[in-house]
Amino acid sequence: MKKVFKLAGMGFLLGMAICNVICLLCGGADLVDSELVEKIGSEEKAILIQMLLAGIYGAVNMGTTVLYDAERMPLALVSFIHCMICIVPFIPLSVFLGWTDNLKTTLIITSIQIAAYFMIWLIIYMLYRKEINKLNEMQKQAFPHSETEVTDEKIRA
Amino acid sequence: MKKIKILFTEDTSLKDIEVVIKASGRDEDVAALIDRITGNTKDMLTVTDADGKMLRIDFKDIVIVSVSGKQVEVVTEAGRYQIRQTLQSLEERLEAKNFVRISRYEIVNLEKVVRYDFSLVGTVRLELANGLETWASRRNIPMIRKKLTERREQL
Repeated sequence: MKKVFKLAGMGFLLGMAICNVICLLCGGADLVDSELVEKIGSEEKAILIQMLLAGIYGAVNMGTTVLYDAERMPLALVSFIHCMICIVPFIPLSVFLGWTDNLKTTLIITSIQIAAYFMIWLIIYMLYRKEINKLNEMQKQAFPHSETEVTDEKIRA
Repeated sequence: MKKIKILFTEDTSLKDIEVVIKASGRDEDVAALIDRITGNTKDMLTVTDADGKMLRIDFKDIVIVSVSGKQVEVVTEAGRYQIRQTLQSLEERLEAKNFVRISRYEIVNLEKVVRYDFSLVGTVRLELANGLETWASRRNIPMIRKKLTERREQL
């Protein structure tokens, strides 16, 4: 539990920082979307709400990475669950905060996120496969007798 | 396990200690008792089978030691046995041999591993002697590698 809170805390700060950096890069001098300012009433409050929500989003994303520590859960399942945890809240959040202009943009960003997750899973999978192949080689060297030879022998009458 | 009666006889003519074991036959209980007296318990585990009969198992015959609920089970190629010890204490005893902790629930004898496999869903599968199979925690892979490296260096 301590690890979850530690990661969530880090995620909160990272979420806020990344949100501000992306908003500055995409929106120029404006940290928040003008429509959000209109909805909230003041720019300061809109910035505060955006930072808070981005922080919570970051905390959830980082905090739930502990799922990868679950020993009995297959890597593909963990990756899928974490991917859903990240993507599902992103859609309403991006619409509310005005990060995306329309549904099309939201879907494009979501697709990029899914593709990124697939790539991460694929890289981790390839690394583990390499590691397992190495273990098999080491096993043969450490216990040469443990190799099992399977012979298919037909018995003729 | 059979009831053991201990009889002490004081004999001033004796210089050393004499131990006489009387039983209906030299069974597992007698063997275990002799092992305990002679201190020959180093690489052996006392387990019970499904009928509650006590047996002595050599470390080298063990394939996996696993915990299921509160029960600790010792699996050999010949069968499954119960043991009244914690996985932690067994790990300490088996550590010096070719055994390694592969998950929170199991210790495996590396000598009995046929091959390792990484499934598409992302679990580390261990194919063991006599067709047995189990899985290892991904975080325990470095421990397996370390143990195999140590073993290679010993050869």
